[in-house]
Amino acid sequence: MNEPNDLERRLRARQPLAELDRDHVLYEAGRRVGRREGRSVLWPLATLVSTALAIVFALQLALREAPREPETLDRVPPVAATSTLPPVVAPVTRQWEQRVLDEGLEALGPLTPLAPARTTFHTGEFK
Amino acid sequence: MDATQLALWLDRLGAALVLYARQWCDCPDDVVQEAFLRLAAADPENVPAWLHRVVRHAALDAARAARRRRTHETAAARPLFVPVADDPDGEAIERAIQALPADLREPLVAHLWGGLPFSDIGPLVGTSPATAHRRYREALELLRTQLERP
Repeated sequence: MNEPNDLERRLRARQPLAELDRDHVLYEAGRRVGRREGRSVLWPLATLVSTALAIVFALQLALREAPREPETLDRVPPVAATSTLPPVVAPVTRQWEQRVLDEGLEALGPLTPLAPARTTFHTGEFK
Repeated sequence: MDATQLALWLDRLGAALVLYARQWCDCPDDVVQEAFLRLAAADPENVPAWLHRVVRHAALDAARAARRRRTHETAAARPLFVPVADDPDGEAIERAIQALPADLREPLVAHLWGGLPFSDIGPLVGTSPATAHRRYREALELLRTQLERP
């Protein structure tokens, strides 16, 4: 590189005019650095986690199968026509019942007085 | 970067960067202050080259914004250099520097007052270091011609 000539020396000797606010720059730089260092990672982390959870739940909800409807029967199956249960009323009683309905109480015949009731019982007789 | 280093760079390059930014914009002090604020949060290897690059981009952006507002006249009235009492050719030098073509003036300002080597000026202005050096020499020759003119 060439040695600086006279013109270069004359030019370099001049001090550029600036209106820099040195104190403001240093103050503002310190403030910005302090603000950046003081910034906690807690809230960004919490935001990240909650967003991730919301996405997972949304996907889970979207991909879930629709719940199955409970199975219902439209009609009750018919009960067998012939019941195997024994008749409630004995056939003989039903015959007497039908005769009374048809012929009246006379169909039962003359009433006979009941035997007098026993009032004394021996031990072991009453069952 | 800590406050002590920042203050050192500010004292060493602040005024030169203001002169550098004045080539393009009418708010060079603001641009340079913002560059130093960014420097506080950064840790570049080559601080002078980094500062010149940041100031250049910011000044060009500011110039684009100012072109819409047209307020360049007030800033241009401010002298480029600190006035010296016994300096007969001070105004002539300022006029000659301002009259230089932009592509010649930029390497001159970056090298003479910013102290940047041509290996840094080349990438800064988008040329090779050799071209930056050639433009610097051309700028000096033009200045010499202007100043020797009666």
